[in-house]
Amino acid sequence: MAVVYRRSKGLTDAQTHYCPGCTHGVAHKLVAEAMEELDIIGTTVGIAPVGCSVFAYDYFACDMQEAAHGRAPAVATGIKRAHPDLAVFTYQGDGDLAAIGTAEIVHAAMRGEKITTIFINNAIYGMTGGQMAPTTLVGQTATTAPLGRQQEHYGSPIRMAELLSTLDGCVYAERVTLTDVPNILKAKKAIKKAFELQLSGAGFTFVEILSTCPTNWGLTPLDAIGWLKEHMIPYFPLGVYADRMEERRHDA
Amino acid sequence: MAKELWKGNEAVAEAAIRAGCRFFFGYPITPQNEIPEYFSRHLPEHGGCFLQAESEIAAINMTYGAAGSGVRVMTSSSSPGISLKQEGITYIAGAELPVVIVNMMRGGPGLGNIAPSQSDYFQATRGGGNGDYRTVVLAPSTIQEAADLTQEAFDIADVYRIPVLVLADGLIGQMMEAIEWRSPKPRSLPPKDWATDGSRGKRGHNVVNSLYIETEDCTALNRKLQQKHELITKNEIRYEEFMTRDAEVLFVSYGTTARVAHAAVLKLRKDGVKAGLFRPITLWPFPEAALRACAQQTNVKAVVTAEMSMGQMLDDVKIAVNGAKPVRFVGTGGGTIPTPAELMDEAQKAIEEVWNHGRRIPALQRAN
Amino acid sequence: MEDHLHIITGHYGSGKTEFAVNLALSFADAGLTPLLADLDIVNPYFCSREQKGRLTARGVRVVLPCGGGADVPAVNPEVSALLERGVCGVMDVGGDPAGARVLGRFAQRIYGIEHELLCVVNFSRPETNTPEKAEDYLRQIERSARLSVTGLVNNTHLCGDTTREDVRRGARLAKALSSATGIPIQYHAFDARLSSGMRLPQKTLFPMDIVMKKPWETDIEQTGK
Repeated sequence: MAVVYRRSKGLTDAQTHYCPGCTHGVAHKLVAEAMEELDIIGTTVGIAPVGCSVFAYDYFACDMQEAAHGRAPAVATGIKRAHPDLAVFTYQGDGDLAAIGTAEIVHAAMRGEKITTIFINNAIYGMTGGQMAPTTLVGQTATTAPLGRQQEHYGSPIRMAELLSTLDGCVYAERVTLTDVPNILKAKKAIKKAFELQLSGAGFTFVEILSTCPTNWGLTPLDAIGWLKEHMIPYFPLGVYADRMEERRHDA
Repeated sequence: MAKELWKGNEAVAEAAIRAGCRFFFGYPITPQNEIPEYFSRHLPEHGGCFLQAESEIAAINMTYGAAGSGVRVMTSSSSPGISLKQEGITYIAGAELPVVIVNMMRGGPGLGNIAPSQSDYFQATRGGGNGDYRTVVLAPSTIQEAADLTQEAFDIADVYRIPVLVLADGLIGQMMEAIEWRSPKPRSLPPKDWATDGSRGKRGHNVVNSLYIETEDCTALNRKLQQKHELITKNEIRYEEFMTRDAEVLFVSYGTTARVAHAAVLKLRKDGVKAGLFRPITLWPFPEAALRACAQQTNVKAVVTAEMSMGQMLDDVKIAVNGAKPVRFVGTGGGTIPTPAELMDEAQKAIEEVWNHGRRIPALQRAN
Repeated sequence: MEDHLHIITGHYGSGKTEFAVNLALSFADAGLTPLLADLDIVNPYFCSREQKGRLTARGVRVVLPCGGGADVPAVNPEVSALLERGVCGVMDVGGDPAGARVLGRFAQRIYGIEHELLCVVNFSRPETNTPEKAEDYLRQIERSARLSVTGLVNNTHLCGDTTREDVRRGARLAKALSSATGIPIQYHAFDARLSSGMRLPQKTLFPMDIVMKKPWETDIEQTGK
């Protein structure tokens, strides 16, 4: 009988805790498949964040470390500097990466740390129950912004792919989403490319994935995808923000 | 080998390299800057990596990552920077990682100053971060001891999978003394089969983690840590007694203050006062039973705790002495080093106090 | 000969400050009015600023860094006074090339006056324990200071553990350093308590009363009197 679909070897057999319709599962699968296709499951260490993906260390089949909130890029730095032969990735949400861990991600990118960061941007704090994130859109409600995020009070959301792309050490930054099959395939390609660039020793690589949170957005999974397309993509445009290896090829 | 003149901070860094530490992550702060500076010059020669982090927080988390991947790694700072590292230290304790941390204490609270101090005793010996954990705390009082204990700290960390703090002060960091290099007694070290250094298809995936979401799991971790703490308390306590056999007034001091107390003991002895010094070398585990036994000797009439803080180790001394003898305190805060004369005065007062309570001290009658 | 500027440099722990303080005191004892400037902006402890009271009492005027013992020591503008002609000045410069960097800003004015740039060497320090390593340091200090070293000071010591043999061993290595660099040995500095039987050229002998003591050493001596 032909095998139509097989669970990636990059994932363990553990059942994930994610809410139905959450895109974390898809993102995990893509990272796992990229590791499997590059044959690096046995030579990769992943760093789980604090946030909804806090249990990611149980789901990925590679070696894993759990970091303190926001510190995953620093933990990854310690591992990578001690073991330059390993592939190292962080998997972080928007509170972890773009609020409490801003210094760590900016400096890891500045140093051109040879790691890959997968950034899940769903514009909300999921783990703690729907509080405002640095990526929450203006007007979007949250349990700590009951009237919606007000620009005069909190400013406008932070665009991490754009911000990091200004740093020379960040050799690759792309924003993707998981709203449909073509976008999922694009996201997979981006993740794999990020790992490949890391393995080539190029520098810091960053893939931002616009994701949904049906539970905390209070929407069905399908409506959540619609909301993401309608509200998030216009503010967080998809695309490649840095591809310095490509630029260097062009220059040469 | 001939003796060499070493600055405390540099000796600590060199000791770590001799102990096989090849990775250092830190952030500048006075008075410990010679430690990162030394590593930045010398780790590359040994194929290691020195990295100046963006903050103490990043540095301790880099240290966590590297330790979790199985290498010998160290970080250092001074008081305000060590406060910033506490988050990382509790994660290291929870994930049971072997890490060596050096604190060259300076005056506090807050930004304080850059002068030597011992006011991080509570923070060091009670854990410092959140949760129920301890760090082994080694308190050198000479540069020789700083070099010896720093080397041994790596073995202790590896044997028990626990963060080990080398707790000294700015004076020990900055001053120079002649030392000889020697290796610690070899220990049998357990394999780091838990490290995240790549499964390479030969084992299941290793996880370095301090999250135990089920209460029974977290309770089990706490019990395990407690057992580890008891084992360390049984095996690793260290202290030094100086002229305590016939001492009537007993100083208890560590680190730089112990040097001052040592001088005070000699001077008091010259003046006919039988003084002695009990010097804890491990601050955690505190040499409670040994100090109790020492203080309970019939010759000891009073105990004087001397610290460069406003009465922190004093708590442990009182617990140890347990009311058997009067305990006095002399200390300074904010970066001042007490003088031998101040300690001698306090010893005299302690003796007078006992005298006034009607407990006659024959030796003192002679001295008077 | 004392009527000009002496600039004291060297490796961390070479004993620059001990030598600088003793040199200034020797000028004061010779009836001069020396001006000692603490230009150590890299070392937080064991600087000549700690000895200000003692020095002032013995006729040495002291110029300290602005900010005193703070974490941000800055150069005192009064240092310019040392760069005047006819002033007996001693500059205690910070250790290592890092500490000597501060001289770079005064280099042009220093060229214009009579001066000695003395490099204090302690062959018991691991990073200057051979003539080769000591020369490497000396050259780095020169580059950083933008000045040339005019004399060597052998100050080989192990603090309180120093023996006469340590000083003599230092003298042998200093001679090798002098031959290699062509820079003359100006002084052999040592704890005055080791004076007897030193057997080194008389005019280079510089016995010192040790003033830079550890807190417990100082007090014992004072209470002992």
